[in-house]
Amino acid sequence: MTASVSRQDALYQEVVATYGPALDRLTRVYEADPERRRDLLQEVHVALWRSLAAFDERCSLRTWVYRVAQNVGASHVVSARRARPAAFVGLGTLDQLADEAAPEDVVAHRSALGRLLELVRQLHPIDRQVILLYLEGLDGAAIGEVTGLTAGHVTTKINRIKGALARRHREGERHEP
Amino acid sequence: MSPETPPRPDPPGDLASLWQSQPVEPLRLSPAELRAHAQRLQRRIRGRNLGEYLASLFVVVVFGAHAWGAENLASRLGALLVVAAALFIVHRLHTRGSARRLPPDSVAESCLAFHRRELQRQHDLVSSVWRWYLAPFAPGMALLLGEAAARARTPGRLLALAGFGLLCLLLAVAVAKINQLAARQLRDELRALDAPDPG
Repeated sequence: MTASVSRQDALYQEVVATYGPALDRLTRVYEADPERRRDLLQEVHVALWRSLAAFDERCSLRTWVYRVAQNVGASHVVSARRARPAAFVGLGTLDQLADEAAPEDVVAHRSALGRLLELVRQLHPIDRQVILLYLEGLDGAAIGEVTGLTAGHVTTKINRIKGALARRHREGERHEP
Repeated sequence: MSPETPPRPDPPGDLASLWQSQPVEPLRLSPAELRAHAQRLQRRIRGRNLGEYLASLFVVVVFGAHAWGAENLASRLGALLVVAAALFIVHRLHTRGSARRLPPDSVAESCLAFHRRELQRQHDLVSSVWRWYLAPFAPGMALLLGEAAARARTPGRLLALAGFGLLCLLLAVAVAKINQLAARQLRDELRALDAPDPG
């Protein structure tokens, strides 16, 4: 095995050890069906491994990993939507959705996590990527590096999405038995 | 909430904790599995391209046979023009396919740059459909229909040919219109990517 291949494999092992759980969580937003989600997760791992052959520390490994995972996930959604078109929710409509959540809709999704997943899945691609990174614990600067957005843009998006998600989360709790 | 229930922490932190506390199913692929998966992906891409090549080959064979047995020059020329159009599309697919084989680290671009590039690629594809997919067939089909109309002995046959020609035209216009709409939607999405956030 050449040195470059073993470096690629070693980097992959490091990525899996550090970011494996995060990769698993990210794919839950990009694919709801469990079997297809497993395929997507494999696709993410393969894309990561292939890309690591060219990793030259132009950015941190964390940034690289999250970019690859998010981009593969986003491509997966685009392919899936060609087959099953559905509208994304803009940030303006997101506020409305949080305020107008019907009790029966909320009761139907009793799991708080289920509600969170459902709402995040409806977001526009870039908004979805921002909030996912926030939920994974990245700060504004790190989110900006992964997404390519300015720090101000990231802050604005996070505040709006957080507010709507939190309201929806509280609405859900009020309607739980 | 009952009096005994402890107060919940602030929602944003709670959401992040909720998110990160999900049970996970770790995946770790061995080097052999990774290579096998990568090869399967390449085969799948080649298979998709093969389907498109086979469709073009079908057109080449059918119209090539027509050109071979044609009764006159106009019919032969029309069939050969359709064959040329099919070969042009094969060439176009091949070069487009080569351009699509992006380096593996292109998926490590920032999310915004990656998304923008994909939207632009889709936009360029659908906005040029009429130019490189529909228009090449027009001269050959027009010549074949015209030649058949010129030889038509009955008004009924002439009407049938006119109807067929009109149907082909309407179909082409419909395909062009659908792709035009898709291109407009993609342009709107591209503009929205670059728009300042309303806040």
